[in-house]
Amino acid sequence: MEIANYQYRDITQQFLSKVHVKLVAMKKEQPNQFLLTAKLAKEKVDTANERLQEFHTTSQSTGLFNDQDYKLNTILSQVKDDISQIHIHLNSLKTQLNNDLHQSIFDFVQQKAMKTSDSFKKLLQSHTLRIKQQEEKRNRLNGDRLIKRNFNQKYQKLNETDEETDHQTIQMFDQKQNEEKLVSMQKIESMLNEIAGVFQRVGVMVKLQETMIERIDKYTDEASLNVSKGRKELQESHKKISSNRGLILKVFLILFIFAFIYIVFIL
Amino acid sequence: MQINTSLIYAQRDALTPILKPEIRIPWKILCYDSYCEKRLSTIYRVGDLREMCITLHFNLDQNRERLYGVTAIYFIQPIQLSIEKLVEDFNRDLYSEVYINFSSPIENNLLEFMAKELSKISGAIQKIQKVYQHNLDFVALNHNFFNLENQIVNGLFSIILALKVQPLILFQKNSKVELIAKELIEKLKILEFNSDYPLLAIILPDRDIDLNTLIMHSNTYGALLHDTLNIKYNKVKLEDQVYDLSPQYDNLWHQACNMALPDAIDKINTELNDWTSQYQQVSQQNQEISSALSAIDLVPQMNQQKKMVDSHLNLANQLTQITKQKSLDKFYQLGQSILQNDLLAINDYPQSEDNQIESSKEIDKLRLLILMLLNNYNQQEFKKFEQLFQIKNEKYQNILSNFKQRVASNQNNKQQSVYKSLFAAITSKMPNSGKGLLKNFQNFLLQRGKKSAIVQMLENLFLNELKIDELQSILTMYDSRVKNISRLEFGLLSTIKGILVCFCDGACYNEYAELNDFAKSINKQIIYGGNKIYNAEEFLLQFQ
Repeated sequence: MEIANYQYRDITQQFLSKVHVKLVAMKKEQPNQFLLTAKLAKEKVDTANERLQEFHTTSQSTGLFNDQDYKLNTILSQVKDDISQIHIHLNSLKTQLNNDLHQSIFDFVQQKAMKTSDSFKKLLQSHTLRIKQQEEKRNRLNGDRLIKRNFNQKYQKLNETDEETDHQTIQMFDQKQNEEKLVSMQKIESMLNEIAGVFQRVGVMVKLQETMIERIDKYTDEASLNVSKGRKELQESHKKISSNRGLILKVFLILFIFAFIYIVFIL
Repeated sequence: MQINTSLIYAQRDALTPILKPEIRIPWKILCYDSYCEKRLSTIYRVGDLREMCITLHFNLDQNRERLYGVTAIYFIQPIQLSIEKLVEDFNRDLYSEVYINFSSPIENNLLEFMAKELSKISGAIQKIQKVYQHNLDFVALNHNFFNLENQIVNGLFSIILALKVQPLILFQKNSKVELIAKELIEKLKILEFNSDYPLLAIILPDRDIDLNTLIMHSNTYGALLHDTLNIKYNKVKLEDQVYDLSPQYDNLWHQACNMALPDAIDKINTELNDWTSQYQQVSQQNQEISSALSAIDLVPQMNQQKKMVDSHLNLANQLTQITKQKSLDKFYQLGQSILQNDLLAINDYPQSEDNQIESSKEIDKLRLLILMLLNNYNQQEFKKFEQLFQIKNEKYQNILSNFKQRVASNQNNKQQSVYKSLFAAITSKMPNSGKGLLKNFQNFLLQRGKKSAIVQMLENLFLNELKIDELQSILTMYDSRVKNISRLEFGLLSTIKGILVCFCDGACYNEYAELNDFAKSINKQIIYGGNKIYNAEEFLLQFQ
């Protein structure tokens, strides 16, 4: 037999062949509100992540001559919406926490969401940086252009229409440059807002990180530790009680002896 | 193709189908018995489970409440007890959808029992989505260190499957391992190995070739920790705190486990200094937003790093205290001298004034005495030490007299000694290169004087062309490529990609360290393990 098939095998059919009851279709249990909301939130996280991936691939293909800023900006605002929706879901989940399962699912979604907003934040940073770099590049090219134009004006007689288009192009460039600046300023602003959130989250992140590297058998361990601790304490308190008992008996004995002496000899 | 898959990664791959049964389930919970818990807990942390959308995990013995609309994955050993616990869960109607995974192939009657019991519970069968059986009968303690927990045949079989290798099984003739090897070979015969799989030489020596390594004092961080504080499945308990020694998450442990204690302490200190300088660097950074942001990103990682260094500082600190108190370095040195058959000066043994400390050393004294017995050390000297040590613990007295009897009866019968191996003839011819060094140094940094028997055996097998005929009479080799016994030839080392050494009567950290050193010298991977990982005390207590 091939190794791959041997390592693990589906034996469901083998198992079912040994079952001798008629299987009736069961009504599926309706998952409760919490699970539904959590599922929605998780799906939103997944879509946000997909969009971030899309942003990444699009921005990779973006060059100086293949400007996709519009598309990129749309994606960014979509992700932003996703994240704010996730937060709404998370807030509503937070009010419904009533058992371990809820808590763990909430932690799970929260952590995923945090990761997503973290990579969103990082993307924003690198995106802003890239815009800046492109601007510089453009400025340099524009500079080159201007020098060239001066050169042309000085030494060559130019066709007027040509001059005009050139001028127009430069104007368009300037306009675009301004727009870019505005966009990147907005980016930085939103980034700053993000930072405020990040600062608040550090504590949560550290705490989550600690859970992440916990051993799976931690609680089993703790249980056995607690059992042995409990036993120790029980023994100790037993000792205490028995020693107390001894003391009480001794005290009473002495009292009795005194009473006896008093009654018999003195009275 | 190298054996690039370490045991840990191989185990991870093998566990994936259990933990990720279907992508469409948004999250699920995991239930396991104690047997399977060990397989999971050395490999995964809570974060890894979360990564795979497992939000809660339980041991079947833990108290659990009913969870509506939840998918549960069971990972249990196919034994009556665990199946009964599973049935009980169905009785209590705990979960809505269930996937069942057995750690090894399940016997037909047990599967029938499960079917019968579950049929009695209305709606139970409908909840079962899938039933799988796996081959996961080994615990990966490190990338090249395993524990089979007495499931030797199934365990080795699981390792072969998980590593995806073609095995060459080399086992000692006329020994206890022969039966085990034959059973394993029978199991392997049904498999068709892919011819691109790398060759792995699996060596099954008899424990009798070397008891010294299990009993003598070691100088490595890992072995000393195991001897003094007892490492259980990569965990050490010290004053109600559990330290997690996972090679995947604790890089320091991964590197320092097989180092001599002083080197390991240096390593820990270097790591601490690195951390401190990184911390200073981060805190002195200018107040720019971008650097502040990257500093925040560093916080969790640095926190984790700090925790790791701290726990090793604690452990090493405790270890140094114990070592000093019990002068374990002296015991190590004395042990080495016994192996070299050097004369021991009774003054070499530092006796403490404190009776309590002396009595805490009884196990160490016992180890030294037994080491003398096993190595036919000078009788008079032995008596002197026995008198000096005056072991009072009754258990230890029993063990000592047990060993005395065994050794005496072996000498009287003039038969092959149980403790002197078939390899004794070969090993005794090896020159003792480290002789003389021992007298000049007084601590753990001493070179090991004599190589352990297994290392000598591997040297003879792979590096010494002249020994191959002698080995032919001792070892049998089964080649899974031809599905038959084949002749040992010199030059095996160039065709194999790695070596696996499995002791069926106990393995230890000391031997692990030695094999690790040897692996470096021949530049091949050596995987090591056994049915159990003993420390010296646990091992000796079997001989009461």
